[in-house]
Amino acid sequence: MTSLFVSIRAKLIAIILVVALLTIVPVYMLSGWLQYQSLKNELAHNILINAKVVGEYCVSPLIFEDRPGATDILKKMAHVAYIQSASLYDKNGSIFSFFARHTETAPPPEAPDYNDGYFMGSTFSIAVPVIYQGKNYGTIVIQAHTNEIIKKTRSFYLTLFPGTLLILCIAVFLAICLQKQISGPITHLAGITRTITTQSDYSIRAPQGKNDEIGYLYSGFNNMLEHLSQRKKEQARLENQLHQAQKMESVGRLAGGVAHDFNNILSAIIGYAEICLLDIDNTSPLYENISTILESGHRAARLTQQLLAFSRKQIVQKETLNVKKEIDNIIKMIGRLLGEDINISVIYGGENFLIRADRSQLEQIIMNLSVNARDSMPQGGKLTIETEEVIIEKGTLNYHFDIAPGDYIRITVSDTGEGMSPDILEHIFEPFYTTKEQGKGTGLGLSTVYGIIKQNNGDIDVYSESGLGTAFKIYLPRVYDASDEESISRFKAPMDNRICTETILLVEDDEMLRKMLEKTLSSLGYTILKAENGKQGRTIFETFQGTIDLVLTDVVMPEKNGIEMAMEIQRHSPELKVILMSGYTENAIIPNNLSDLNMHFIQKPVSPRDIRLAVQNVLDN
Amino acid sequence: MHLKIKHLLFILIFAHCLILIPGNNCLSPTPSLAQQSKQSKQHEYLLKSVFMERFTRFVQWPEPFIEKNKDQHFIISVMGPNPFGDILQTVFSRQPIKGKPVEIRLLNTLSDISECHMLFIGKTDSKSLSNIFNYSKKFPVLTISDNKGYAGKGVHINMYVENEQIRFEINKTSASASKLKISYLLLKLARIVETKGGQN
Repeated sequence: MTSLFVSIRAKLIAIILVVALLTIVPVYMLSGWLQYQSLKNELAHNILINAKVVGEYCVSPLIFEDRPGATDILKKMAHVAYIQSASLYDKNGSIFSFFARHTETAPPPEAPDYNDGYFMGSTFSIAVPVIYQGKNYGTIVIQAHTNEIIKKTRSFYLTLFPGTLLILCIAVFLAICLQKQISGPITHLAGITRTITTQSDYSIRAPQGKNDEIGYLYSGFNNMLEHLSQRKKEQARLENQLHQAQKMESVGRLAGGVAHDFNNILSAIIGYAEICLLDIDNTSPLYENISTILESGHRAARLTQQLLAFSRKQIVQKETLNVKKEIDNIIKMIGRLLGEDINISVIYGGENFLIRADRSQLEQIIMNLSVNARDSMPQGGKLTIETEEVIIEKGTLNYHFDIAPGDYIRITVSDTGEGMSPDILEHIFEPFYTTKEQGKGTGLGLSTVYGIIKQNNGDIDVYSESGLGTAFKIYLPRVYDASDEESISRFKAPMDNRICTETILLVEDDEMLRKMLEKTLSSLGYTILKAENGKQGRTIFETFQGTIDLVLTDVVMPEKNGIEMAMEIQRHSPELKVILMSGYTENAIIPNNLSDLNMHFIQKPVSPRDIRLAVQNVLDN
Repeated sequence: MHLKIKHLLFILIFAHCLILIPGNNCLSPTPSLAQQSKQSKQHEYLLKSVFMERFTRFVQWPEPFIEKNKDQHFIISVMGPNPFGDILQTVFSRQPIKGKPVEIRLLNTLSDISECHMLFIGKTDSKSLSNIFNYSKKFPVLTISDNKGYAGKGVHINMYVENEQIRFEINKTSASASKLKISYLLLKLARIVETKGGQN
């Protein structure tokens, strides 16, 4: 049911009217009643006095038994309008004398008991003793009509009625005038609310109210609007952020997919180029060309690495790193890279800041940011690298960061360069976005940094002031356990002139790459068993009569992936050594404890040299 | 002050008395004067003696006078010829006045007036009457009579018969000049007269 719309104005007027009616009408009635009562009292009092006076006058007629004299006195009562009858009784209670306005009235023959007067119907009766000098000579009874009182009360009501009506009219008038004081501001507020909702304009504000509830209502309303606008802004910002994140995610996915296929192709290009170089003399005119192909292949491989880093699909080898040590190492390398115009200063917030990350990725981050800083300072300047510990508390509004609360190490890389405009800042982490001249930058530097940091559960914040410089702030989760610091071993230098006779099961779905690997390894003397996928690889392993010393397998393959296959095989032969090859981790779970599982990992694209080193290292250990 | 109040009361009562119309059934049984028998005369004086007692209810004697006669009798004296015979003795032997037994004295000398409360004056000559008034007015003595015109001569209350009823008249002048306090209520029933001839 929809309730009828009744304006607050009407309600207020109605309330005031009801209150006025409820007070004025009873007062009106009450005053009439009081008037009636006082008239009654007055009547009773008058008659009592009359009775006493007349009674006293009647003493001598009673004593001298002068009935006409008594009647004469009683007849004087005719002057008092409301007295109907008066009767005088002697001390024996017999009627002595009587007067009545109307002749038909008869006196009661016996004297009633004395009383102070009582009303019965429209008659007032009183019976008082006739006392002279303490002696009782009889009784006088007077009866009076109350018509007079009723008439007077009625006329009192009639006199009062116009006044009461006037007061009511004034109440209505005042109600109409005064209700504006209350309903006005509320109606005004309602109008503002309506405007805001219909026009969706949240910049409208209610005017400053008085220091009362309505004033508080206004200021509260304004506060709410303020909050609402802030929320709206915040929502827009978050939506934008989400949009940005989704964009980055999809671009990353695309880049990762492209990089995966590229890795295989590049492996073949680099592999065959290296094999070619082994076969030809370095004086041959082809040598230069093939070297160029190899070099380009390597460059392309680096590019795919960056793409993978950005798309967070790079296989990482996380270790606990001391930030100070790592930065010290990096500074040594980048000193040359940045040139003499750049003054590098490093401020350490502490000695033992540990993070868990891939060393080369950390290098890459610092390197990329430093190179960017250098590029923004063509005239030279100051590059500052600063480390600090930061605690991001739970519950703190931290719209900058998309990270869990906890302890973080912040690495700030700041320069005194040109800075960036907000328009540019919005896009800097997108891949292939560059402000540099064509050919000077890939547009992958910062997106790589972004991808790596996200992969390490950290965040990056950029602050830039046009003309003053830029500061990148990297947040990486802090760790306190240094147990496995630098525990990861790297493949050691190759041992030359080694006789290779072991049997290797090669599982790779990419035919070109498989052929290249087979060619490389078999040229070294290894016996190679080939399989196109995990399922096939397992069948070969089970049916092969001889001993298989090593399984070299791709990770992402149709039918059965490399890790699954390797784990199944290892269940039968726990001592079997496995090398996993991958450049891409999607849909593949690379266990963290590879070394415990007797498994090793090699990053794609693989060059013949890489593969040779890896295989020899694994077999020798 | 005392006199002033009295004066006012007289004026008030006078107004009432003007309209006082005598009834036809006052005291009963009504004596028939036409018979002129001794019995009816006796009856008349019996009523008059009753009236005399009732007069005393509206009259206040001054305190010292009462004090002087404390524990003594209320004295009613008769001067001149006594029309009551022994009726007064008969009536007042059983009827006290103001709570005191009543003593009836028949006076011969003026000086005896000083001791009585009420003096009934019988029919006497004008000289004697004048002497009595002159003497009695020095004392708080209520003078009563039943002779026509005596009220005008200075007696306080004079009874008379009208329409076979006993009525009375009060001399306003002598009453107010006396040392007695006569209630206005008594005046209401009385015919008011004033002293004629400048005796007072």
